[in-house]
Amino acid sequence: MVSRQVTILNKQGLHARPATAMVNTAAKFKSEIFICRDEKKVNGKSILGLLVLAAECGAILTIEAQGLDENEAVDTLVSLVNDHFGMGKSS
Amino acid sequence: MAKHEEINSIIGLNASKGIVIGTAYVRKLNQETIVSRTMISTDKIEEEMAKLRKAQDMVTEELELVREKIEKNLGASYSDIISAQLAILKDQEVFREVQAYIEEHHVNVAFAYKVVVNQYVELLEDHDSEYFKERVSDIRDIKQRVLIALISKQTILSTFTIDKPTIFVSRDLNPADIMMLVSENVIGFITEFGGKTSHVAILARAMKVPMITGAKEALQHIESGQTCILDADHGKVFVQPSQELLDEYAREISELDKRDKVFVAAHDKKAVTKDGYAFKLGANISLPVEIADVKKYGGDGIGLYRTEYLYLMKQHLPEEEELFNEYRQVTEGMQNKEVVIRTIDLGGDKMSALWDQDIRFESNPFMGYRAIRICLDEPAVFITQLRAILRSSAFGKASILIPMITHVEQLTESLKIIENVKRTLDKEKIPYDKSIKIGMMIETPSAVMNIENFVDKIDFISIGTNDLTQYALAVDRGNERVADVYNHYDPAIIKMIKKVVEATHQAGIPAYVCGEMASEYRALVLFTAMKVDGLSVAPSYIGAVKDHINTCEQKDAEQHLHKILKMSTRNEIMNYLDNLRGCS
Repeated sequence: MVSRQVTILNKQGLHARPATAMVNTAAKFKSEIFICRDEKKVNGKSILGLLVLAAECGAILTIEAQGLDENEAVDTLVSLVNDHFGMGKSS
Repeated sequence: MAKHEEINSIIGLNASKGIVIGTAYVRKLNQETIVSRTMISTDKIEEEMAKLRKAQDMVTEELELVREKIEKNLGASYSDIISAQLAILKDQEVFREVQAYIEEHHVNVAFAYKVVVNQYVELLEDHDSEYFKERVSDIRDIKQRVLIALISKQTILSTFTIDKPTIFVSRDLNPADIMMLVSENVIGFITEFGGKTSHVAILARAMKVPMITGAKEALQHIESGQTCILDADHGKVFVQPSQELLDEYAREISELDKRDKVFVAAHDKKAVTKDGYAFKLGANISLPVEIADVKKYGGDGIGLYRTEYLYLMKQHLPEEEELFNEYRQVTEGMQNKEVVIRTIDLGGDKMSALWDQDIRFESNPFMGYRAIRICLDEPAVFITQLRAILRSSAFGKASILIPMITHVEQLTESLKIIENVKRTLDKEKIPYDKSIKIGMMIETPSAVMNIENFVDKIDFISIGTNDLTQYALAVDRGNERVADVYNHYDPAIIKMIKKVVEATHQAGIPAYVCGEMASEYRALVLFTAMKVDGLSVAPSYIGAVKDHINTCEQKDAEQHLHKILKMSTRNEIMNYLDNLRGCS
């Protein structure tokens, strides 16, 4: 299993649009993916799960992956978060 | 037309004007769908899950159709609400949990689905953040669609066949509903909730579908299948009206249609008085789709492009690229006719869900965090919009209009920011119109009283008569109890407008009027007398305003104004204006 911490940089937090981007990205990998915040742990391929985390700007999340492509999955998701989910630095 | 007092009438707010007669369809959807619980044997579990997959496919197809319609009518940047709904629909964790629930409890799939989704709804409702709470309505919407597909094996749209002109009645509506329904023979909307300026109302206006919002208890008073007259002009609905009233309205509708055809045919007429005084007559719009109407009625450009819609509709702050694509459609589409783009006038009664709850629910929003005040407080938001406007100016003729300025420092600060944005674009070698004009709205008494110190810094002014009246008379224009206080024919308002126009002309720049007053016959004589340079009205009023101006004599109007300025009461002024035939 691989896991890494990230901070949500988007001003509006992990709302529907970035959550959709995250789910769509996670779905590309065969590994099981989990996103954790404090004691909550949700399926990284579930948008409802991600929304329930209610991660606002500055929230620290742990991305976990387990499976054949776990390294690649975590790398890709971490860069997605750090890249403001491709929505531009001002978002 | 004299309206009969009918017993079966419902009153609401005219969110989008127009008059239609149709058959009601009442959607009682927002009440919980009743789902019965039945026992399922283990060998039927796979069958139940197949039903869920089938229902998901049906709803997916329906949402894709809506997405297609939104993209065609409004542009791709409006459809991400649908992407989020699709992601919720296809959530594989929900699917897995439903299966686990059925395996454990041996219940039917509809029941299991409802239980699973409701658990998420409860979790989200508990959040402090307003934003995440609001997503609950998206999830509920999907839940309803799936449940209806599961139970009736039909999608929401196909649960009623709209074979005749229909007036859609519901508790509330979302933009996706409107887009879907207007292309399905729905000719009018009545909702119990919502205001005049919600994003749904803006959308209904842009799509030219009459709509009444805030019609309390409409769901109780109207039943599906009943004939209704929806008179959105007067904010009224007549349920099962008398034949007499139906005939009266049918005549009025056909009169209006005829008049409209005449206006369209005469689209190249100019807004000029008998003695040759010409106004620039532009249109007020909120969405690019409206420029088709501006051209149809022969507007001289866009006098007021309101840019709040994208901010109200989106679930995130719009990005520069989205804004640019939107503005470019308008500047390019208007083919070198001037497009006056007003920077965001959020706040007041139009606060985006993007801001925190304490900002959204101020005790005195019209006096609060609004328009340029937000932009100067959050320059990043302002700069993003300014970059998009400037970039769009390379594709047509744009100008920038800044709303809600109260003191000179706000104007100089705004101009400085615009200058900096231009310089950044220069450095990035991004093209824009280097001679772009910058103007400000005159809508606060302080801007009126200090007008000389504003007009020497800008290229034009535009008087927003609605807000000016509200602030000058200290009256909330949304509050029915003080509705009679609100009146822009008050001597104070007329004197203010005159002062502004004179000072503006002295500075050698044009003065425009873009409030509701610009489309009122009574006011046109005043603007003609003052030699206001331009008016901006809703696209559908362009023809009527031109017609009226064509009957005016500028010289006579000056005489009238001279008399009016000596009057001391609003009633005296209104009576005088009412007694004028035409403008002269």
